[in-house]
Amino acid sequence: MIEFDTLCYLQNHKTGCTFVEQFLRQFCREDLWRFEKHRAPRERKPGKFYFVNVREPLDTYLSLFNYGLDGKGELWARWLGAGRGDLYAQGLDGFGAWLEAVLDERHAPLVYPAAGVPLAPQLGLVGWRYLRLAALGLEGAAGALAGRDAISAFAQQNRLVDATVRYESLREDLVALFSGPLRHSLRDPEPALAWLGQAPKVNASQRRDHRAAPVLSEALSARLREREWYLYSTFYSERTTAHG
Amino acid sequence: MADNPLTPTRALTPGAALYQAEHDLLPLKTPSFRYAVFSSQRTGSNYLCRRLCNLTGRLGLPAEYLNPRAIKMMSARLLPEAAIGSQVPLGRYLAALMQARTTEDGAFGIKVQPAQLMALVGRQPKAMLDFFQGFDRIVLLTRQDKLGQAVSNAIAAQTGQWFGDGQEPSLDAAQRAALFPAVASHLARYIEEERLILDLGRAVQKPVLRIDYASIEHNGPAAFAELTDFLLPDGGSTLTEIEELPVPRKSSGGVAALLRAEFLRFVGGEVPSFGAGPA
Repeated sequence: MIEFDTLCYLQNHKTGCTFVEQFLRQFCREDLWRFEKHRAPRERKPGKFYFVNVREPLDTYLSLFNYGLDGKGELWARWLGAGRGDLYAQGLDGFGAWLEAVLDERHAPLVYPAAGVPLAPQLGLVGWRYLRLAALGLEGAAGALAGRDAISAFAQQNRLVDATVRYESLREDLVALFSGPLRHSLRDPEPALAWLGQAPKVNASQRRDHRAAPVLSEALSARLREREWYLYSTFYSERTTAHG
Repeated sequence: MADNPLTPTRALTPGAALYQAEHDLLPLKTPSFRYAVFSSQRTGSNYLCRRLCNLTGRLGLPAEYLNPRAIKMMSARLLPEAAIGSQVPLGRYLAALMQARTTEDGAFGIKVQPAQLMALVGRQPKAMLDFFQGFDRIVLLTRQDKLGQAVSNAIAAQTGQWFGDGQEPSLDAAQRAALFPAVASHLARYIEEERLILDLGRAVQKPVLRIDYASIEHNGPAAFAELTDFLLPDGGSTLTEIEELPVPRKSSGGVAALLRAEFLRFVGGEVPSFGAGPA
């Protein structure tokens, strides 16, 4: 999270958050109050505008996997530490096996941070990462939530964020946000908005799947949609995952 | 006769007393977690850092280790091969200091003031940024009410009471009026220092927390809890706090309020009245 006088941006892993952070550091006119990259706030501060990023789950997992192939990321380090470097040994061809392992809730202690483990049987990693930022207090309440309805109700009742920016339309969404409700926070809006249109991505994983996206089996594709039900039903209901 | 830094001849302030050998933490160890508190004077750093020092075995003993007096006292003890009176290289001093002031949890903390840092690394922002890159977490302390900060410093410098004990200082009207130039000078300096502190906070690619004096004044325990939450992101066991080192206590602030009002009248063009005065 990067918190300024009137806005607080919540940094969701592998959703373009370093790009947004860089934009804010460069163009926000306000004073910085707190920076802790992936921290979830403990309270909502009155008068502050909170926003977060989201990304289509399959694309997020591909990015995470590629990040691991680059030898980066906490998840990669954890698998390696657990003696499962084999999950990365096949390169892109190993994506399906890797995804199956990550979606398998039996691996939750390895894949999730401790606070997320109780919710792992009901929520995929990417959904967890989004909701722990977007819903205030989820980390503390995770153990008490049983079932999708309870999770959805909690998310609705404890909604922290005023806006969710989609990775797929990151630049356009940011331009809309900083031309509208957050315009006041920019030192000089014109160059700032121009920068959003031109600046290259930062901290991106080297994608190996641009030419040939991995094809998931029907079963794995269904498993992904089942595990990531929250994000698919809330943000990506129109999307279908590629499968053979 | 020159002071022997090992046996200071001047009375030690509560801050300087912390530089003595009795506060070294043995056995020496290399820290696994380093944090810096970057602040101007009179921002509540004594309150927060004293409370951190009083946590048993946790979060180091944060103090003004870049204060010239600290360097003199501590380098003479920790780097005996360094000739007394000669300039001790900052890197060597810090390495030795960290070893002696790391608590059982592997944490080392230091309080840094802009003027003290600039005296050691120069005024270039890059040099200051490089200094903070050596720390895992950075705490910024500011005071948005900079006139209150300047007034507080002028009173502390005049009375020698840098650590509040809850007692109201005694300054008559003439003594307060004599402080106007100091208040003006501190005010200008604090405006510049705050810019420097905030710019560094934005530039350093480390976790940063800013606490303003107003929040300490409003609710000191809550501000302290926010600080420990930031310094211990993974939580851990319950903190035990024993007041071995005295924590500053605020006075009622009556003299500060008077000086503030008189200073504002003075700079607004109205010379304050000091009563009839001698006949």
